[in-house]
Amino acid sequence: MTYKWFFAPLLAFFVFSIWGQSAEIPSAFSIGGDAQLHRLSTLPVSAVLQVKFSQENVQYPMDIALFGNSISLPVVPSELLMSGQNAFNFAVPGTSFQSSVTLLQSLLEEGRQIKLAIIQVDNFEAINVEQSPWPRGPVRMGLLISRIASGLTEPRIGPDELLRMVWRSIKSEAIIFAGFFNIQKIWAYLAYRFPNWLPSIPTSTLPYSVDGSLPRLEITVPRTHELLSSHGAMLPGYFAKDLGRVAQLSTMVDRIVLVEMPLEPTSAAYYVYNPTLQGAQFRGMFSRICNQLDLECHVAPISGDPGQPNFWADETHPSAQWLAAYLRQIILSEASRKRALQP
Amino acid sequence: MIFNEFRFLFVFLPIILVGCYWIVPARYRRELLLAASLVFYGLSGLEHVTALIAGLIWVYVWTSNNKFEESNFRLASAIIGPLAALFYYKYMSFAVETIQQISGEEFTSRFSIFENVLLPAGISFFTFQMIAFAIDRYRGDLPANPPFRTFALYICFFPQLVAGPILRFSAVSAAIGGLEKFCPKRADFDAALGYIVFGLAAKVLLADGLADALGPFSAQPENLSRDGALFVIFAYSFQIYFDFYGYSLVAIGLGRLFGFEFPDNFLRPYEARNPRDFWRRWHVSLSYWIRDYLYLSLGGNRSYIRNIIIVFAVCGLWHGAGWNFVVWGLYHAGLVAGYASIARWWDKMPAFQQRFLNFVLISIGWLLFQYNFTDAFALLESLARPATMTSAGPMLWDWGVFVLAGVICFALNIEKTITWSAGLRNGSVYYSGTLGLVFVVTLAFLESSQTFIYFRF
Repeated sequence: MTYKWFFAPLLAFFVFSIWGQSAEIPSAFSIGGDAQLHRLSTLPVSAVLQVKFSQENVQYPMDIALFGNSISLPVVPSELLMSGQNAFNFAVPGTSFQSSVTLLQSLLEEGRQIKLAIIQVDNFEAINVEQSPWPRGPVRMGLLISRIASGLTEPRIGPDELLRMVWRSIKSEAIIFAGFFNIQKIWAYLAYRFPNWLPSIPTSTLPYSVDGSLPRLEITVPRTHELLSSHGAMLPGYFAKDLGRVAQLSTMVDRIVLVEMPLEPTSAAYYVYNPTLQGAQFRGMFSRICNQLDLECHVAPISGDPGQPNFWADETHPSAQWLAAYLRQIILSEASRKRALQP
Repeated sequence: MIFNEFRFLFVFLPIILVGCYWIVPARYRRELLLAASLVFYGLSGLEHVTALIAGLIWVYVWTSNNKFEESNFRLASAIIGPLAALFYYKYMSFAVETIQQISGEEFTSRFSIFENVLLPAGISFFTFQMIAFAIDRYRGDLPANPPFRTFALYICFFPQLVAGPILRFSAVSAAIGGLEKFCPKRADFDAALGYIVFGLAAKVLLADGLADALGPFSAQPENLSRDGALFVIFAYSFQIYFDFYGYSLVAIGLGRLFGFEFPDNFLRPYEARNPRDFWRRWHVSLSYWIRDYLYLSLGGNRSYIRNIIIVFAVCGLWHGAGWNFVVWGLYHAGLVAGYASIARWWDKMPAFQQRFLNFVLISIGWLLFQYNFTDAFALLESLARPATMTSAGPMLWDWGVFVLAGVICFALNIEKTITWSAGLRNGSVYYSGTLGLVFVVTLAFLESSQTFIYFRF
């Protein structure tokens, strides 16, 4: 066995993969190509974040920018608007609050002006706890190091929380690294970059819209749902730190609204009568810090009846139209600002 | 944890190798490998690793008795523990369901706690290994119990813990004893790499590739065209072979890294000329276990037909808790007994004809592995009736994967290739490059790889 010849194909493949995945990828929203808008959903999260960040399709200053994950993704931003305004849906499926804040921060640091930023906060009974896979390469490493450093210096982040964050980051980085060997991801990148040359990976989703939303087939028959079966383990110190980041950004934006997503009625009703420690603690902390930092935050309604008949896709994903109406009601209601902080 | 995932290949295995040969003192290698094996297993559930440890202690305590060889009671006590765990985890809900069907009484609610019992991976494998140890002690093949850590490592060693090969203690005792002094040579690494890479490729590229091709057809056995039904029968035959064969190759390779010479578990089984020959080549360690600990105990060839029926029924039940598995076992009993009665006529056929006929019979048997009775018959009906407009049939790509699997199954002898490569000097550039290329392609598909089929057993 000659080991250098064994490792040669491995090294060549790795280099090819880094080339394929690291080069600048064009924004489907800027160039508006149908093929790329369809292939966008096959790309990994970090690439979709990059594409949404770099799109030039809308005018700045932007009237409304919506940030979130798959819950907000189908919302058509024009449904949030007054006439004559412009908007873009920056939501990326599979991401968490941390990614949304990072994306908003990066846009503002680029000099993009945003008048109203709506940031989705997952319901505290069903938190998505992914570590942000974006920006790419050295910039992400820099952010990660500063996050670890803040864990060492900030008193509200305990050592156990720091260790959990580091462990999650290691797992997240390992997954990103493994992606360099994943033929589907490499193919998705190449098919996105060269849409006329390569066939795309079959996907069941509809293409992205040029407004950044990804249409979802709406449920047309009312249905019942199982209760939530698992909870994300949120890191309170880092969540507080991200709220602090939002507070710092609020000087650069006319208005930032943080909205905790409602739960499907059956689940919501269940938690009204069976509140969990996690939900109560985080919701309380959310309200308290928002008050301290003078942020506009809205907790989820607790009535257990946020929308009938029940057209929810699952326990956490409401109909896009219903969610758009819910968000519109929040952003139009000046009076809601104070009242909403009562959990 | 499973072999075909990144965290095993690039985290777990390197840590164990570095720990074993560079960090931990050589005298503690047994303890290190034992701890690593328990972590390997424990990552799939603490309850399961607790059950495994309880089984180890139970068997070891009973077999430690100086008078163990003289007592049927002690032997029965030693094996009843692991058998009870096997029954609880694997057969309880099947037994309840069967009793309910026979009695016509509804008492599901009383047994509802068993509905959510999760089957520990590989429980049938390590249970059989514990039983083998107890019987060997009883028969006097092992004069005394080894130290507990040696016994525990024999049962738990991670390369063979969840899907075999099922080994006798005597097959590995020297390797465990020699762990302290074992120093892997270049040839060991070369061979290990060959086994691991080819094993992973067999699983990830061929078995999983066939699984993907089969997916749309397997799901609708009642709505297949004739070629679709044939595709399901024979493609699954290759899928299950490469799935288990791939696992066995990786296990052999991993064993070599630590000085263990595991025997080959597959001896090109689809080249067998008859059903009896097939069982000498397929899952060899299970066949030997059944022969040594069940068939011979029942009297061997003295009551041939009766014993063949019993051992194959047990073999079927070992594979799965369901009547389809029992019938699969009985089907093979019928094949083996049938062959015995027509051997003179069968053996006169040309070798190719024997192999082909045998392969067809074995492949039809796998239907009962894939399906319950209703779906298996539905597929056979699809085979018999003319296709309709809506019948599903495989595309060119599906047949391409199938033909590739067939060619590799019948034309490439992987073990010989690895042995042959050991003698290479200048020509090893091509071998190494090819191996590296196979590894790269395998890695590219690793993330979408599925669990090994035999983990269910």
